[in-house]
Amino acid sequence: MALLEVEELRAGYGSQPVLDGVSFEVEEGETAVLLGLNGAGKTTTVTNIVGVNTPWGGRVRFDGRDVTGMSPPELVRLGVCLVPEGRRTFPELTVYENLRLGAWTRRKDAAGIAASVELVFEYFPRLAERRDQAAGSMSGGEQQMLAIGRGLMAAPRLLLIDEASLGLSPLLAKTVFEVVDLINESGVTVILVEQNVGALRHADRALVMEKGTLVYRGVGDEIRDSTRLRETYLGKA
Amino acid sequence: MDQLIATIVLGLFFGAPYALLALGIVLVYKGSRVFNFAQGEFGTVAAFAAYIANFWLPVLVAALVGILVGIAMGLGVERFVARPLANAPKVIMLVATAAVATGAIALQVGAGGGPQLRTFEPLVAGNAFVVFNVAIEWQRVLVMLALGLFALLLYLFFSRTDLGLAVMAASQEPVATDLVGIGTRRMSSLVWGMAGLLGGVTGVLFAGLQPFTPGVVTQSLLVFAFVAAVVGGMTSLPGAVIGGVVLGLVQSFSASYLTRVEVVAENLPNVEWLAVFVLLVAVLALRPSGLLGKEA
Repeated sequence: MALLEVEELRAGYGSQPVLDGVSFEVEEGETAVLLGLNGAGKTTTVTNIVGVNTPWGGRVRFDGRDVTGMSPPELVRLGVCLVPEGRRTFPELTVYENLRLGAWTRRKDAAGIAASVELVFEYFPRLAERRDQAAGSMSGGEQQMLAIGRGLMAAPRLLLIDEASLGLSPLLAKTVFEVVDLINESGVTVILVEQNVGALRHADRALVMEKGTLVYRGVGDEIRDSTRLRETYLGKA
Repeated sequence: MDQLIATIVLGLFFGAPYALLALGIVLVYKGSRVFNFAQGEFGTVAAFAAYIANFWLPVLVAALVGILVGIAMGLGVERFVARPLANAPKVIMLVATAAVATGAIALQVGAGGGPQLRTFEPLVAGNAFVVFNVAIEWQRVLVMLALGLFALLLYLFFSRTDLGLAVMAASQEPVATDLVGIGTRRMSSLVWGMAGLLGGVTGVLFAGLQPFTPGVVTQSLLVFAFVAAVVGGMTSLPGAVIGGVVLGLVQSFSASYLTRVEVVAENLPNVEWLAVFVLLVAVLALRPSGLLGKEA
């Protein structure tokens, strides 16, 4: 049984449909990349999985349990956490305070929180240096690290990261993806939402979206040949 | 010298109710980014509830009933006004809270039996002390103590507790607040409930200071509390306290000293009001973000 099963997901905003029956599965321990151009429906897919938006139809199952339409706090408690597009760190709070709030659903577990903070600082030493600095005063890359770190503080089983590399220099994007690899190796299942085909290098599974539907699903070695993917699906805009 | 000390003492004690009401205004602004014009009516409604309860119940219990009604009103305004309008333009929210205030006053006049003066006895009667011919009542000392207590509790709440952090997070990034599992709605209820508590305490204590009419807290304190909040920086709780006290001092100094100038005494019978206005304009001109504010 897959950790995440999305079945015929339909969703949109107001009366404007965006997703027209999206189905895919992600196995426990994998890193999946959800690729697509602007407006393909990637963000809508993940926000409907984590409960920021309520799906119009279809099913989302996590670990065998139907979680369709649950609220974000309920899903965080179950172990599903989204690092949102645009980072959305708490600008006037410090790095440490941002991390603490990431652990809200397990705030009674002081030892666990301390261990998670240590882990995040290990992944992103830059955050340790800026521990007491206001999040809003940091660079975009540092805020991205903080947003991922804050997501990890919930000790998720499934971490969804929306546009981790957007606006980052290639070097910084590489650092972030390397940490994503480490997170995945520690046992967390990861879904990367990306326009950046380079993310395929870090993936076990590729899902390509176009106009609200999945047009390609692939696993293993076939997705390493990103040139073909690029030519077939992503270069047509 | 005697006059100077008396003026300072008077200013401090008359500024305390402004500061107490301003704490509620700043709390709601900090937590929800709303200018809450209903804050004064959390107070008057609480005072009316205490006044009515006092027909059957002893004064302390009646005061408690009033404060609970103030909390209930804060929660009600959050649920039925602030929450439905959360995504509306700020000006609509502002007008809506003003509508709550005028509606509450109309209700006090209509259902409360007319606009006449009512009295609610002070929780502790009599004068606490006299400094140089100026008597300070126990009730004013209670207001001061309540101000100190709530200022301290709020300071600890925001600086030492995760819940306080979560309230600030909810006002800065609502989406991310939900995403980390906090739930913005509960934070919003918490903020408005606490504002209702602060308003209720202000109203019940203020009603014991002199006979009161419908809308008394809005009429006597709200404008000054807003000035205190703005002078203090709008998002700063210590700023609200300092703003309220500064306002009280400006009023007492202008009332005792400026009225000695003949021109002023003859032409400006309420010079202390004018002084507050001058203070507000000066702060807005010289330091628009307020004494302790971070943002404009």
